[in-house]
This record gives sequence, structure tokens and C-alpha cells, in this order.
Amino acid sequence: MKTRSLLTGIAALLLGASAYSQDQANFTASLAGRYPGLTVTVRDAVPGSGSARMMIRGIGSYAESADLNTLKIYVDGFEVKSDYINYLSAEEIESVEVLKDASDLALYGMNGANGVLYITTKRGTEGAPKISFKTSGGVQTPINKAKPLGSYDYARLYNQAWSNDNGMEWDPYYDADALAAYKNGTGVDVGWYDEVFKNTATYGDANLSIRGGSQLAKYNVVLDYANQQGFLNVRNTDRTHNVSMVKYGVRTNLDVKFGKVLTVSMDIGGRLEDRARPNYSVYDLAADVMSYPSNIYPIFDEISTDPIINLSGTAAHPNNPVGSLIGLGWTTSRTKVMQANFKFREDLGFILPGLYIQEGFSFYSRTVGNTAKTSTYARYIGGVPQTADVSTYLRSQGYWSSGKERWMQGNAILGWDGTLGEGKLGALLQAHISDFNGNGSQFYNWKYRYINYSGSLRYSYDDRLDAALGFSFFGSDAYAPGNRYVFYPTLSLGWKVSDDLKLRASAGFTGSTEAYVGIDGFQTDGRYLYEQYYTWTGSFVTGMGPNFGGGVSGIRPYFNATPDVTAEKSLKANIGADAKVLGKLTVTGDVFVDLRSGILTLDRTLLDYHGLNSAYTNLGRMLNAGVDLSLVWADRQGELDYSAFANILLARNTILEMGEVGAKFPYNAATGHPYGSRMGLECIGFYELKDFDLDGAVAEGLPVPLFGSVQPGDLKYKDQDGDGYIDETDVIWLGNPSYPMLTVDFGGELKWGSFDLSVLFTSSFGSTVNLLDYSEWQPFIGYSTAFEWAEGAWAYYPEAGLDTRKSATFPRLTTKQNDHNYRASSFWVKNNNFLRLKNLELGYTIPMRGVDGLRVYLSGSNLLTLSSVLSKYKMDPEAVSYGYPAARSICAGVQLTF
Amino acid sequence: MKKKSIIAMIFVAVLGVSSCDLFLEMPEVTGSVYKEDVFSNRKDTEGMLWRAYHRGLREGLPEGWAINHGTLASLSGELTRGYSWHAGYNLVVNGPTTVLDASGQYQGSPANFGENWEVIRACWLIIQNIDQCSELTAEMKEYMKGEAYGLIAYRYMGMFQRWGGVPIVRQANNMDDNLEFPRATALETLNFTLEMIKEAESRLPDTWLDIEPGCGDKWEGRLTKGAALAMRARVLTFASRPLFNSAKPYTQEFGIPFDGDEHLIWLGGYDEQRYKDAIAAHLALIEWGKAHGKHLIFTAGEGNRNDFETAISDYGRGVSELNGPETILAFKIESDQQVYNNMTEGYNWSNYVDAGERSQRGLLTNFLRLYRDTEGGEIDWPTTDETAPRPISDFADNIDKIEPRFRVDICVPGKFGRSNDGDSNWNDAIWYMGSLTSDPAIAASMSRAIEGRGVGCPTKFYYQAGARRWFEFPLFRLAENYLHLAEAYNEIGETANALKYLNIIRNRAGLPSVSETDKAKLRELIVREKALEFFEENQRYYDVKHWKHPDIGTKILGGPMTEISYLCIDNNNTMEGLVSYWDAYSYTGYWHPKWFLEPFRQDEVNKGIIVQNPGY
Repeated sequence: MKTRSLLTGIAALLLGASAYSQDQANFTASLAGRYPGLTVTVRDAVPGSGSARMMIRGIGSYAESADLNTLKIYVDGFEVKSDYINYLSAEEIESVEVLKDASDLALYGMNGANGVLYITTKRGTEGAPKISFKTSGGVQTPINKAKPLGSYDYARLYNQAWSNDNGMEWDPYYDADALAAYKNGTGVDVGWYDEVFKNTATYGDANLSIRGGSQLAKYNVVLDYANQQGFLNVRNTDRTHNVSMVKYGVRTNLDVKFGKVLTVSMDIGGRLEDRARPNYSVYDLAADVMSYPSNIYPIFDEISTDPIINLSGTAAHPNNPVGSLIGLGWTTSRTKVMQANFKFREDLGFILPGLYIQEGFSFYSRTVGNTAKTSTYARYIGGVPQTADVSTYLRSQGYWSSGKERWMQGNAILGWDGTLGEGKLGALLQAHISDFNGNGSQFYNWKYRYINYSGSLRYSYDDRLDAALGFSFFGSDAYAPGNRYVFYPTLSLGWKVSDDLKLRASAGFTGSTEAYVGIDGFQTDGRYLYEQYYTWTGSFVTGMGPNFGGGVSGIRPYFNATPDVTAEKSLKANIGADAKVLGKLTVTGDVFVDLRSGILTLDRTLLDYHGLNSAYTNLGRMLNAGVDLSLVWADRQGELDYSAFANILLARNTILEMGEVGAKFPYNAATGHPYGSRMGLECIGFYELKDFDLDGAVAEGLPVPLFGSVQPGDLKYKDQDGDGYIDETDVIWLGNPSYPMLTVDFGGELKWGSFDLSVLFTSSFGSTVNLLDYSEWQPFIGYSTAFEWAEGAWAYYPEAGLDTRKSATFPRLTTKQNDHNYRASSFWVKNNNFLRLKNLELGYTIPMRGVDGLRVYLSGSNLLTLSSVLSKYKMDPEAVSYGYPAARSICAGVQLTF
Repeated sequence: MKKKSIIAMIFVAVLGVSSCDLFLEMPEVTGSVYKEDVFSNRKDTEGMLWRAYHRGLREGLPEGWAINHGTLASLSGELTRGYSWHAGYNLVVNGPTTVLDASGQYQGSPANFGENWEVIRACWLIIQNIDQCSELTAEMKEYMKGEAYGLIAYRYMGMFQRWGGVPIVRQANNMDDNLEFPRATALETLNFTLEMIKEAESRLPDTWLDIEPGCGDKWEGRLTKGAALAMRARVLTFASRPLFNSAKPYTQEFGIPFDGDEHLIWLGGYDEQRYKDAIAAHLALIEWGKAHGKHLIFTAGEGNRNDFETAISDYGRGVSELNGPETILAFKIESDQQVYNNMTEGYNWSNYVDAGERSQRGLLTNFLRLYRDTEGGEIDWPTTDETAPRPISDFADNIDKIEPRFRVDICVPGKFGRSNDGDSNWNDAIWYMGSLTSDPAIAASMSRAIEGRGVGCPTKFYYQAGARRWFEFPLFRLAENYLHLAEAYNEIGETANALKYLNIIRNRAGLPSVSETDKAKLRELIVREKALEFFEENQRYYDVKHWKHPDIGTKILGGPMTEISYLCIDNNNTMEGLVSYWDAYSYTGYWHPKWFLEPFRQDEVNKGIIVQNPGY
């Protein structure tokens, strides 16, 4: 009963027995590298921070921001949010399939365009109960530690910046005495990074499953627990708490057969996720650590006699990072998430052999409740409070909720598997109805509903030829009557040339309803755009009274309604082959194209006198194409069983149309490049002293930059159009987007006697980082600190023995906002290619009487990373962020089955 | 078979429920508003109009973009340019540009082209839909249509002054329309503006006072028939001035290459009738005013001259009195205070209005020199050529004899101002007003003490305001019509009439009459009078351009700007503490003849329909 995709699809391969090897709680992160076509990027290592970034065959549409997961997720036939699968336990999972081509996605209609992750949970099996117990524990250590400079180096460089801003005459802000004090340790020099982050974090989990059943009833029960602590340097006490997540999961899958006809399945999978953290956002704290200079104040103010706590603080740097850990209390949230499915399957073989009918109902719920224990602290310098804050004792905050979601889905299937002549014929009709109730924080996300009628007709002749027709007739509530339903047909063919070679081809349509669409602070998710809305805004005052605070509210139309707005459309075509070579190498290869049209886009080409020149229309088009290749080699040499595999995905997209205003020159346009491409100025070095005339103006003959005044040591840009000015018309394509164009994941397994070894490498090519996305690359701006890369700044002060004119690797320093240097240019865009030992696991199975298996193992993840972004810029190449570090982990575990 | 039928029923039921299209209907409770709702009740229909007012009348004011902080006075050599992050500062330094800045904002011209259309389309929406509203009387509907036409006219008038010809929009937004129509000619734009004014005039009431039973003065401040008449008078004056009304377009005169149709930026030739049309329009407004309580506040009366104190009071009331007899229309500061906040940033000043930052727009010496003494004589101010500061007694003598309008509009160190006599918060001996220093070395070097403070800070619009922080920026004030009449009569050679209207304004300000009969000299007198009477009122920036004033590039918009600086002892800015004063170079303003008209944003031009104005 494979209703999730047509038989001719390629779906996914599950590679390796240890596919779900987990040494952290996040399930989505553990999917990395295992599934051809699926790219998983782990965002950060903060416990409980949520889903990894997942893309299926690259990015096909720019309608959603690149950071969101655009694929759809189904668990046992019903759609869920990624919240649900983020912390599933591997023990619950039977299979994960990546649905990616037209054939796979034929039944998904508007849910299909960006691919589907289809998860099937483990069901009971006939036989005596099988009990399996697994526990593991380990530690995480940081991969990347980007620490700000100490006070001495900070002050030394600040003197450069200060002088640069004051006429380029040597004018040290910190005099020799101050520098000496920093150097000999008598000055204030707090290493905020080491105060806030520690070097290890612990992880532990345990789960128990009982599986068994009879012909009449089968069951699978899983209990699951995991505890992940973070890198914060603070203990879990009554006053303080590390960032952490503890999860408690339970799953019961039951199948009961009533007579010959009816089988009833009852599945409940639910989880509590308890998160805790200091009562200050971990991300804000990390940002403070990365921006507060070392010399602002000592952690504690020795002179203060505050009876509660004597932390330092100033108005410019109010959030003493240690204070955020120990002075504010802590906050905790409990997420309750559950999916309960009921399915009735009736075999109607008594009417027609092979005929069956199935009805299903799914209930999904997620709520988040919060409590906190809070306090505040006064900020002292020399015993004098610097802000209005007063130290308080810990007090308990009441309960508040921050999420409520309910999702009901119904599903009815009428299917028939039979024969026709020498061939096999299968037919399927399905109706899926979905009613999602969101948090309602915006009017558009109050409810989401859709109805999907889908079906397929499959014929296979002599097991050699397959042909399938599929369709989805999908209706979404996002659009006006008349534009709600769209018909999506698919055709796929398979030809088994020989036992070792099968060829496949498919083409078909799917759609997508969601779009990250907003203007005027009005997010719509692309929904209800057919209605013309009005909004209250801008009051006006009449009469003779005072004008402030009074007035009657005005009303104006929001952006223009587009009555005929409908879902984005995807035309996917795929040609592939499955081959077996030498009996040992399995090759699955596909060439694919995905042509998107009707991408919801803000039409920037509308003229101003349109009035509200903000209308979203289905005008966008994009083409995504690539190669999806997977190789598996499996063999046995005497005692040694081994296998090796590689997944290679090449996907490159091009924006064909996105409503971009015709640029002045063709090279200014982002259209025609991959979505999210880096656009900016081309940097050709630093301005030298000779580039300026005596008045300090840019010398005659050099192009004049229009982004603020420049001085020696500033970045020099190329005047692409040669008009004598550096401005927006000199912007060019600089590099690839933030996501990879090519990923190569490879690994293998060895089994030798009782030993087993598995290894997984991931690698990624063709993505970039823009260092300017990180304030760490704008030293001193906004009272912030500096990092080692500021050492390479251009400087020329012979009187202070400074001359880096030849060796400079960074523009001259400044303490002021600088629109000229700190703007998108090739100087800041860096390639982000990396190779990573994602996972390594060594196991030993101890033979024991009465026990099916007792296996002990050691497992490590992210043990090795080769990356220029890591080595040069101190960022993890996946998380690409500063502050809270990315983690490598090592854990040991025991698996017992009896 | 029973089982079979049950199963079939379940299946059919599921399909049946799901096929019901109601399931996919948008939820009724969405927290938003639809058009049918808006025009179904009076409150929301009025809300459409309030929004149109809120946006519509801020044309040229900060947040209506103007120069975002302060007013156009910083461009036209009246006040200093403000802080470096103010859009006006960059305009003064670099002139108008067409590209967006690093943050994606467009601050290259003192105008927000896009906002015009938001207002205009919203007004058309009101005009087209207001008849649906059953809660409004037929009479009130007509008034409100009149207001909508008036606001359309107001924005078109602003666009005509800034850009010349612009596209003509005759209806509310409709996505199906052809939206790619080009700029109309300047003449078509003028005629369309006049057409809208006529529609407004025929519908607007003469007064809003007691217009509905029991409403009293609740609706004061909305457009009246007088406002329509005032718009007609002003737009005809701009049409009559040399920039548009001349034998050849300014592009030819100043050698600016232009591929487009010159009729976009020029009315096609000189026509004296334009002055006569303007005269008729101004006279019509003055006549209308007589019948409806709107008149110049002029205690001595025509033919007589106010004494000093009466002039202070008449002028002060004229520019400051809320809904006063001289005010035809004022900007009722919107309740979110954005215009207010950004206008007072370096604009009007007192302890009530949060001193400090706000004094960053002081009076430039360039403008100070236009003021005369109470008998109409020139005042001898320091120049940058002098080699030593002058004693402060020289300054005191000058201020003691300067004309009344200066004393109302400007608060200077030592002598303070006359806007709020006896109120120490308006006449405080604190440091913020004027470019003051206690450092004798600065005085010895004759350099500028503090940029931006100038000779003193403005207090206009706050005459006898006391603790009232808000004010109403006059958009149409009858003094304008007298000076525009003088201008037009002079141009057509009716010197006596020109002198008559000029002298009314002079006499009201306490100045003696003039009797100049030379056309060019009289024109200069009128121009100077317009500058002084309308100091800070967003008129000079347009006036000097449309007059093609010969000094525009050397003294007014462009050219060196100088600021008076003072030396005092121990930060004491009373007469006891002040020592000396001098004039110092501050900065050079940008000018290029292309700036006679403003540019369109480059990304708007890139769309391929709008023709860019010459020189950009």
C-alpha cells in the first residue's frame, strides 16, 4: 500500500544501519549526509534551538526566505510542522523518504513543489515482544571560538581608529600609561568570552522500546528521554540555569485486525520538551560577548556595597554578560507536541480482489507554556549606579503561553491493485482534507485549510515496463473562489532494460502556496492577497484643541489586491537510471529540471503613480536544474563485510524574472543569477596616500565614490561604467549565495566479527559568506570591540612606528559608521567550501546468552572540519555565525536487545 | 450488503464535506477592513479622508519628506543645514541626486514623489465611493468630495512647482488599468490642477464652524472654499513666473542638454495674461476673505503704518494664531507628531520644546542681511572680510533698531526675542542659542565658534505660545496674496497697484512705505519683502527658483554661507557676558541650474516611462 508516491519514483535510499546515530537531541540534524537530494545544514548548537535547514534538490523558488524550510513534512501520511520532527527519537523511525521528482510528488499538489520529507514510524511486528534498550552519554566541545581581543590589543587598535577619524594625525585615545596597564595586567581586561562560555557541555539519552504482537494485534511502544546542556558557564541552581533542553517522548503504535476486512491503526506520538535558559536571550548574550570590549569594566564593582549583587555596568554597555548569566534569574518553557493518528483499512477483496478502502484521521497539537524566576541587578561603576536598574531578589513570574496550534486532517483512500492481461494495474483515489489552526497572531495565520483530491493509475507490464499517471486537484483557502483549485497532472515511465539497469523518466506539475511576503510591516504569507484591505493609520486632528495625542484615526488601503493571485507552479522533469555494476556497485543517477512560474513577487516595476506601488503578483520565474547521483558499493571479503557510498548533488538555480526594475546596465541586475547571489561593488585594493590631492579630495582622474568621504586606507572600488563616480551603477554579481551548489557526502561501513565501524563525511561547495553580515567585522562601531582580523588594518603613522601600507588585509579602522567601507563588495564575500567528518562510530557486540544483542559503541560527530571559513574567520561553515559556538561531540553508548 | 453501504457512505461523506467550498472560505474574523466596510459608515469614510489629510498636507514638510529634518529653509539660505545625517545637509553639500543611499532610502531630493500618488489615489477612492455611505448627509458628502478634490489639487500644485509636468491620474487605483502613461506637459498639469481646484471650490463650504448642529468648532482646520481660492492664486502665480512663463525654457538659457519634450518643463512661451489671471485669483481670495472673516491682521489699517509694538503683535498673531483671521489653511500637526518632531529638530526653540539638539538650525548671516532697520535703512553687519571682531555694543545697537519681524522670528544671545515677552523659558540665558564661545582664541582667529547655531535660533509660529509645544504650520496665509499681487502688478507695469500691496505688508510690519517706480528695483524690493515676511514658511526655496533669482547660486541656495559667532565670558550669553561678535564662513551651498526643477528617482526613471528632468 504505497500511497505516498508512484511506484516509478525514486524516493530515497536509506543508507547504513547507523543512519540515525544520534549524539544530540535534534533529529533533523542527524539526517545530514544520508539522503540523496536532501541537504541539511545545522544552524547552531544551542540546545532546543529547532530544526536544521533542509532543502531538497537546492532551492527552486525565492518566494520564501532562504532560511526557512520550504519542504513539507509528513509523518505516517499526515502533514506536520518541523517542530514535530525536530526532536523525534531515532527509535521511533522506520524510514525517512525524500520525495523529490514529479513521480514522487504526483499526489501532493500545492504541497509538492519544494519536495516532501516522508517519515514512517516503526510499527509492531508479529512475534514475541522484543525489548530494546539504549542509552548513551557524551560531551560536546566547541568547534569555533572567535574571541574578541584583550584590552591591550583593543586599545592599541582603537588608537589607530581614533586617529583615522581625527584628521589622520596620530592622536592616541589611550596614552602610554593606559596601554602599559593593559599590558601588565593592572588595567581592566575581562575575557567576556571565557567568562560566559565553557569548553564542554553534556549530553545524555535513554530509550526503551517494546515491539511485538500477534496476527490480530501488533504494537510498538517507545519511551524516550534526552538531556542536553549548553555551553554557558553557569550552574543549574535555584537562581541560575544553563541553556538546556530535556525531552520526554512517548509513542504507541497499535494495529488491530477485526475479522478479515477491517484493520484499525492507532498511533500516538507525543513529547514534552522542557527548555531552560538564563532570563536573557542566549543569542543576545552571545552578541554582547562578541561586542563588549574587554576594558569597559570589571565584572564586579568592588566598591559597591549592594547587599544583593554588585555587578558592573554602564549605559553604553548595560548588559554585563556575566550579569546576564547570574543576575537575571532564569526562564523555562514547556512545549507539548503530539500527533495522534487513527486509520481504518478495509480490504474489500470480497467485492473485487485487490480493492481496499482506508480512512484516516490525524490530530496534531502543539502548545508552549512558560514560567520564569526573574531578578534584576543594579549596574555600578565605582559604587555609583549607572542606570535606573535596582537589584532585586529572585521572584517567580506567573505562567504564560506562547503558542497554540491545532491541526486536524482527514484522509480517505479508495485503492485497487489488480491485473489486466499480463500486466499489473493499480488505481488509487484519495481525498485529503486539512484544517490548521495557528496562533492567530496575524490575521492571515488564523487558519490554513486545504483539500487535496489526488489519484493515480499505474500499469506495469511483465515487470519490465511501468507507466503511471498521477494527479492532484488541490484547493487552498489562500486564494479567491475560482483560483482556489489547481489541477496538477504527472506522467512517469519506467523501463527495466535488464536486471541490472532500469531507466526512469517523469514530468509533472506541483505547486506551492506559501510565500514569505510582506510589506508595510504587514506579513501575509501570500494568503488572502485577493482581498483589498484597509488599515487604520495616521490620525488627523481638527478643531481648536491641542494637537498631540488627539485626532481621529485615518484609514488607507493596504497594498493592492491582486484578485487573480494563485499558487506558484512547478514543472519538474527527471530522467534517471538505476544500475548495478559488477554486482556490487549500485548507481542511482538523475538529471532534473524544475521550472517555476507564478512565484509571488512584489512587482517593483509598477510606476509610482500607481499610488500604492506594492502589489504582489504571480510574476516570478525561476529555473533549477542539476544532477542527483548516489553510489553504493557493498562487498564481503572473508570475515569482512564492507560498504561505501557517496551522494552527490549538483543543483543550480537561475532567476528568470523577479520584477526587478530594469537596471541601468545589464551587469547591475540580480535577475539571471542564482537566488541570493551576492551583489556589490568590486574591490580593487586600498586607497593610498597618493590617491588624494592636497585638500584631501580624491585625486583628479580617479572616480569619485558617492558613499561618503574617503581617506587613505579605505576600500577602492572599480568604476564599472567609467562615468567617474562609484555608485549603485557599479554594482556587479560577486558570488554565489549562502547555500551550496554542490554537496558530496560519502562514507562507509565495516563489519568484522563483532566489530563494526561506520563513517560519514559531508562536503559542500559553491556557497559564500558575506563577512559584513556579522558585526564582528565592523570593529569599534557602536561601542563594540575588535577581533584579530582588525590587526591587519591599513595604517600609516610613522610617528608611532605604524606602517601597514604594504601588508594591509583590512581597511583602515574607524570608530564611526562607514557607509563606504562597510557596504557589499567583493572584499567581504568569501567562498565557503568545506569537508567535514560528520560522524564516526565504532561498535563492539558482546555475545551474551539470553540476549539478542549487547552492543557498546563510541560515536563522534563533527570530529574534523576542513574549512577556510573556520580556519580564517573562526566560523563554523554550516552555522556560519559568531557567538555561541558550534559543537563537536563524542559519546559512548550501550544497546541491549532481548 | 450492509457493510459495503456503510463504507460507501463514509467515503461519500468525507468527499461531500470536503467538496463544500465553504471550507476554503477566508475566515470572517480577520482583524482587517474591507472597502465595503469603510464606505458603509461615517467614521471609516471620514477615516479615509483623515489619512488623506494626514499625508496630503505634509507635502514639503519633514516626513512628507521635504528634507526630513527641519524645513526647506535650510536649502534656501535661511537657516543652517542641520546635522550631517539630515537629508537636507547632504542636499546642501551635494545637491540633488537620483540614486538611493546605502540604506536603500532615497534622500536625493527634498520630495517624496511616491507619496503624492498614495494621496491622490486615496482621494479618488473617496470621490468614487463616498456616495455609498448612508450615514453621511448629501451635503456632507459634497463637502468631503470637495476636500478630496482639494487635496488632489494641493499635491498636483506641489508637483508642478517641483517637477513641471507629471502624469495625470483621474481615478482610483485599478490593477487592470494601463499604468504606463507618461508625464503630461507642464501646461496640461497646470490645467488639471486648476480643474481639480474648480471641483473643490464648487463643493467646499465657506466655513466649518457650526456646519452641523452642535458641532461648534470641531471641524475647524479642514479645507474651505478659501483654501481652494488660495491654491488657485498660488498655482497661477507659479505659472506666471519666469521659470515656466518665458520665451524659452531654462534649459536653453543655461545650456542644460535635454532630449525630452521641453513642454514637460515649460509652458511653451511667455504670456502676460498669466500675471493677470494670477491677479484675478488673488483678488478673488481677498474678496472672499472679507465676507468670511479672513483678513490680514493689520491694526493701523491700509494706508497707515503700524508702530513697533503693534507690528510685533500683528505679525506675531498673523503667523501664529491658531485658525486666526489671516490663516486660510494650516497644517494641523498630526497626532503621531512625526512632522512636528522632525520640524522642531533644529527649528523652533524654547525650553518647552526641548532645547539642545533643536538649536542646530540657526539663522545664517546671508539671510540676516535682508532685514532692515525700523526706518527701512540697511543695517551694517560684520562681514568675513573684517580682521577683528566687533564689540558687542555694535550688535546691541543693531538689534535695537532691527525691524519687528526679526524680533518675533529670531531669538538672539543678549537681546533674546519678542515672541513670548516675559516668559523666561523663551528668553533664557542658556548656552544653546547662537554660535557662542568662551574661548578668546577662537574669537582672535575669527573662525566659526559652533556650526549650525548662527546668529540665533528661530521662534516663529510661537508668538505668545507660552507652554504650548505644538504649533500649526501656515500653508496659506493672506500676506502671501498681497505680495503676489504686488509681484504680478509690477510685472505688467501697474506700478501703483504693486506699491499699494507691497506697502500694506511693509506698513503692517512697521516699516515705512516705499515709492520705487523702476520695475527691476521694485521687483527686488518685493522679492526681499517676500523673503522676510515668509521666513521659514517653505516659500523661498520655490520663489527664488521660479523667479530665476540672479543670486540663487551665489547667496541663496548656493554659494558661501556665513554664520555670526559670539565671544562671551564663562558661558554667559546675557549682555553682561557677551564680549564681541564677528561673521565667519561656515560652508558652501550647492547650486547648479539643473536644480531649477527636482529630479525623479533613478529607479523610477529606469522603469522606462518617466522622462527624467534635464541635467540629471
